[in-house]
Amino acid sequence: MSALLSVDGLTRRFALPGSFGRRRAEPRIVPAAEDVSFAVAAGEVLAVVGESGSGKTTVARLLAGLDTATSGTVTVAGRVLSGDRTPADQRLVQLVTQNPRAAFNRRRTLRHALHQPLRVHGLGADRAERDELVLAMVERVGLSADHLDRLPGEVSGGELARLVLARALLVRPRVLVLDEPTASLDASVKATVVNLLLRLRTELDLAIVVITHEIDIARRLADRAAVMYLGRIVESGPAERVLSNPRHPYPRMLLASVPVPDPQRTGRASAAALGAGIVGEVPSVTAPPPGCAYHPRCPFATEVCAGHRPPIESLGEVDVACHHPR
Amino acid sequence: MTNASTAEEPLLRVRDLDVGYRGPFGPVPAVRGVCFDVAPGEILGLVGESGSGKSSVCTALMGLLPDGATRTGGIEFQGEDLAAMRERDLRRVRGRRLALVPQQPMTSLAPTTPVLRQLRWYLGDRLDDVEVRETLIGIGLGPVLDRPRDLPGSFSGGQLQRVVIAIAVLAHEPALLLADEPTTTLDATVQAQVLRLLLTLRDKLGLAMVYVSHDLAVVSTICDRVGVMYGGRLVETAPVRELFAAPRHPYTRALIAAMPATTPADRPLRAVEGSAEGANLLPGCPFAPRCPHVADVCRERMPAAVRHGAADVRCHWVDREAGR
Repeated sequence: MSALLSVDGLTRRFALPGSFGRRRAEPRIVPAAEDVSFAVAAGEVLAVVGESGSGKTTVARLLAGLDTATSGTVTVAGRVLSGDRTPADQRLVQLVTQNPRAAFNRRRTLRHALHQPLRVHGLGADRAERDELVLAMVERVGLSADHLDRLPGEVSGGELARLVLARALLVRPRVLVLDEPTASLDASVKATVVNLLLRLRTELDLAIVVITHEIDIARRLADRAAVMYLGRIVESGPAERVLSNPRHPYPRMLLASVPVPDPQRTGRASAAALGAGIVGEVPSVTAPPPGCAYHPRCPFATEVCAGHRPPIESLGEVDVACHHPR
Repeated sequence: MTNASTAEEPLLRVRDLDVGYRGPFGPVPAVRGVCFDVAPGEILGLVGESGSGKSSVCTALMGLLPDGATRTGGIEFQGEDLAAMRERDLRRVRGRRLALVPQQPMTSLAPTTPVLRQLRWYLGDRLDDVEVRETLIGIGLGPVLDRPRDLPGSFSGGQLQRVVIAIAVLAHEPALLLADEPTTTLDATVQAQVLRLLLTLRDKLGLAMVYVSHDLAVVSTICDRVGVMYGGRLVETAPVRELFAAPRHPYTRALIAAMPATTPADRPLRAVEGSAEGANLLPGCPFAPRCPHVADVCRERMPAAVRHGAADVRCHWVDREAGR
């Protein structure tokens, strides 16, 4: 199976403005994403997992063409997409942003919002045909025609999340990028969106990239997973492997810090039961540590980790960037 | 008395708490008829979705509701009725015996004063105490001590949240800590450390906590007992183990069924149709419109809390099934 989406050496560096009254000889550079490579086949879901500052949203923006990469390429169905895309190229990759409430014009009906992408891209011959397309898509995400005459403020958060998805799918993209699709949703509604995404994946034959910090959601949705730390992928591979028994020490600590309900626990909650090896926090992206960026927090770090950045190497099923994989 | 968890005299006893806010079309109820106890040294979790009233309970307990909000009901804390207390007297309790850790540490600290100086405002000369310094270093606040001139902006969210917890807990060693989503804005690895810090402080100082969160998984790791809120009502209160092993209220069951961690990977998550919007206005059970077991009586009248096993449940269906 050849990849529908392939990302090769994607890098985005931001220059920090110097502070007032102080002239810097050299502007400081923030490496938001460094040498990020992955491939996603049609019908496959890749979860990109990481904490704040890991660069996962930067990757989402680069995929969608909202930002231009410093170097590296994004290829969709054989077409190399530049940062400055033609409308036809823009259609190929659609981004669904984190907060559905902020993604709609509050003063226009949802019908208007969903017609908009069709008009912009000249899809559907006339109004009647566009109406049909919109209705079919709204039903596909499990909603009905009467949602269309409402304002965004008049539908619930879960319904709005489905409508953002419907809007992105209307232009028939090949790649769907979801930035934290369930983070703003209540627990009872999250499940609806997760189940819908799983259904759409098989129905539409899309390559889906899910950016998330919610490990349990990633486990549900993804076939493959990539864990990012300070702008770089530290481990990638089959989701069931990477999100349950990773080889890089960082994802191991990340997984250990996800609270898991223990129905067997009797008596009081105790500090001892919470992962003891969880230390430190993500350093500032403006000054990533030298060598392996994770080495100051890593219990297995040696001299080589501080001096040399580990290359990504293939270890069985997974690709890992670590001098001392577990 | 239906929901005392232990024979011990409770530290906090909340009875029939109602909170309402001023809305454009009249008062909007946010908390309705909430009753619970917290024993000394106990961590009670309040879990619910946005708009369920869990934060309003916290704000009401602190006596910090905004102007125009109404509050009725009893709040008995260490034998005193906070609800009847005048603001002047409340100030002797607030921050001393009863402390709050808010969700956003950034907005709780002065942005233009060094963090260390702010710590000194509350801890005073005890900040020079070897033991206090060791505690601060032990909870990861070494950088704050080492960088005396740095403002809040140059520390991370996790560090600031620990500063706020240190102020709340170490300044006066309160008997009860109200924690309102203290880890919601934090990264997973930092959240784990803050949760561990809270549990360590409980073990060390014996303080009790009301821990408010929307995340059932977090609540289950830190709390001894959990209260589930929906539409301003407390629908079920149970020890953590009981809540997961035998959830009773249909909403609690739905919440647990919708958790990815408790559902086998090959089965779809059980979603709850509908939304919680407007549930706080319903005359009967707030969950009735989404409930699979709804009957006419549910829409008309909110059931009283009834003890089932170790849980206190407010549900007509649970009562019927149990033959009560």
